[in-house]
Amino acid sequence: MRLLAVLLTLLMCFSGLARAEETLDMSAFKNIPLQHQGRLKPLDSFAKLTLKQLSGQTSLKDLSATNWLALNLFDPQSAAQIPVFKISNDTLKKKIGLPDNKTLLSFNELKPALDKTREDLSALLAKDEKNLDPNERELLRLHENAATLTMLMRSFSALLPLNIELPQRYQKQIEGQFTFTELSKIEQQLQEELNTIIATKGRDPAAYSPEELSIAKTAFHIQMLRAGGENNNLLRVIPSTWKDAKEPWLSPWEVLLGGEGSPASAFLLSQWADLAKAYRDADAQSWRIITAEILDETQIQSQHPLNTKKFELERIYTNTAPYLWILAFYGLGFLTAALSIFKPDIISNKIPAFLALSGIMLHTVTLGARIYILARPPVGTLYESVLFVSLICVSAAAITAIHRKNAILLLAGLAAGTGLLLTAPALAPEADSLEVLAAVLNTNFWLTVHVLCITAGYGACILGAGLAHAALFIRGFKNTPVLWLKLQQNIYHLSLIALLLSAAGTALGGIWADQSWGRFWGWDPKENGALLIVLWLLWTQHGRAANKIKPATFTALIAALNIIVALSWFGVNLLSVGLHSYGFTAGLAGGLFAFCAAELILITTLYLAAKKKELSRA
Amino acid sequence: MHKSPLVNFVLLACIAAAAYFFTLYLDTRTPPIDIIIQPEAPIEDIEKGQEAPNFTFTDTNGKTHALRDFKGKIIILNFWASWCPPCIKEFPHFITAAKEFENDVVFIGISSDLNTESMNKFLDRLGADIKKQNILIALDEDQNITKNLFQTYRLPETVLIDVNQHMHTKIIGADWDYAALQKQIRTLQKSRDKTP
Repeated sequence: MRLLAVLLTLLMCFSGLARAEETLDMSAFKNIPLQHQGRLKPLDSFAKLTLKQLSGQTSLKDLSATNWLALNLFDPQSAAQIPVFKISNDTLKKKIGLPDNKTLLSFNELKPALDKTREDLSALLAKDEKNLDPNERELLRLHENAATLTMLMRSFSALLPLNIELPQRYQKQIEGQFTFTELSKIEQQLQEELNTIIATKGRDPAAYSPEELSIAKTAFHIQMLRAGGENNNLLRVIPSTWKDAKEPWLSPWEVLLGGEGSPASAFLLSQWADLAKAYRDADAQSWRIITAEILDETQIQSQHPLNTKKFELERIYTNTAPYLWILAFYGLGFLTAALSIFKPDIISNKIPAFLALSGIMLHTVTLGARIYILARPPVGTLYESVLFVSLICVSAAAITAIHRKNAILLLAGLAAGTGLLLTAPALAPEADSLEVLAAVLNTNFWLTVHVLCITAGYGACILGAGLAHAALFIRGFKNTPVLWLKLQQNIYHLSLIALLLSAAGTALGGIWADQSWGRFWGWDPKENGALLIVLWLLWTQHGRAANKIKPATFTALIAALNIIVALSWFGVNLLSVGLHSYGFTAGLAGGLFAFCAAELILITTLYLAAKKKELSRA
Repeated sequence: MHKSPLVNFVLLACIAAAAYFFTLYLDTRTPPIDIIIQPEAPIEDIEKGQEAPNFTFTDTNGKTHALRDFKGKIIILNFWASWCPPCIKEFPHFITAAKEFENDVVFIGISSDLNTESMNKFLDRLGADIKKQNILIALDEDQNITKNLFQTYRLPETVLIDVNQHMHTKIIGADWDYAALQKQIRTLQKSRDKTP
């Protein structure tokens, strides 16, 4: 946090300039690769992710994410005035003296509050995260976000012109505008002179002559710039020269201060310095040429050829937000399906079928794009598993609906798909759902075999449960015994498929665990959760086969699979224990509890209604 | 046949206990050998590094050289300064290496000293040790080679350049031992001998 204080000093050092972003063509700049969160991605994706982390949105009022990034990199003084920090906690706002009428605050507006609360930070960091109250958690997040922005604004501070007046004797040595890289050449000389001044006149600047004071100030500025660059590893745009291609790329400051410099990095950084100049001069032609040159040079220097098509696809993916389109298709499909079933004279059943198929096609293309971009199966995180399971639900429902000519199947699938997709944002709060895998998952074979099998099992369970809800409703409130019998058959078959996938997935997980962790089964919460689904399905199937569980009860128990799956899929993550800790997501407890309670009430109500109808018939 | 709930319960408990003891048995097995013993990393062939940029420098005897003049030799390119304690610590080891591999190695020490006097003051202390044809020291007064060309901002740094003038290894700081340097040089000698 000391670095925040350094930043303001640094910001004062840089020359300001007029805003240039509107005149510059960002198309090549957007595609410049960098390494972030363990994988290579285009600058555009990085910009959106970082902006979303700070502000909760992927663009600002008059500024796209890429323009905002460029402003931070090349004109940090202006960037510090752009409102970008979102603070949703009003109590905290009041407590730390921030205006409560603004949605977003700039770094400059936030700075006094950050200074005021800096002393509380070490106490908060020492606390267990579970024991933090919402205010404390928000305050920590705010400081972390400020640190991120600070790093971003300092990324190229070694290459930006400085607004420092040099001591007279150095003015001939370094003429015109200069940067840290030039200033560092006189660093040792200045330091030796400063040591002599301190030895003769002490540390009180009041005793210094104007020239001595200027020497002390310049030496201080160099120290500040260096301190500001230490540990700044956010913007990794330089491929490593000295290590193999698997090693992380480097940020400009890592190259300069970490001993990673080379003739190649010197050349690339000189291009970045030229780009900074073109930005600050609003020189559109130079900007266009240099961004293309940087793109080429980075590709040459990266030891493996960069897949620019992948970057382009990622850019399209992040710009089009396909998740929202899929949700819209499924949501509308669900509404029209419900209308077409219960009010067939109002709407044709072809409309929900068309919407569902469009959604499925887009969903499949989206998952295909994710597989291509990430080069792995699309089930590495909770968020991804939701995307995958929702596709399984809707597509399985659509296929069986066509096969069995039963629109209720489609309705159940669309309800499950919509519901699942609605939970997705809570599982990927930081926008970039294109994450690298946790190390423990990093074997594509087992990820494909085990996780796809388990998640497909979740899909079958949820679809069966959705159908069971519909069946109970029909049994309780509609007089259609033939349909009830048809649905019984469908539910039974779906529960068999769910059992097969869940049992096979659980066993395969055991084999993977045996290979990775040296034990087949460890009573880990996630393992127990998977076993719970299998046991639940076995119990209901056996009960049904032995005629111990009657059809309505069987249907209600399959409907309750939603609760069992939710507990197994998300609930075990709340325990924060076990080897499957890569899936943990904070803040799920409330939603999960509400879901389970609502499901319990709904299923009980539907079950009682169905039983009442059966009794009245008897 | 109708069984009482107690019988069902006992049966279930037996199955659960059997499952539990089975997993205990699985845990007691000796893990496969490759989980315990990490295979030794294979010794990799030297990858061809980037070509070192050519530059000229004037040594302490006033003679101007270009890096390309030393094609066919292994070059130890060391960035140092007499005001830098780690540089002073490692410098004699490079001189020893240059003497040990006199026929194959050229040592080029590029100094970031403020002036020739400070640099010579240190070099004088080394005496005759540095008066060898394969030991070349130069002052990089404007720091063009050190900072602009090789982007060295923290001293000392050393680049080992192979006989084809490709940059092979970078040594950052002075925390290395002489045996490691000898090994690197011998590897470069072998790669030279293999070169057709």
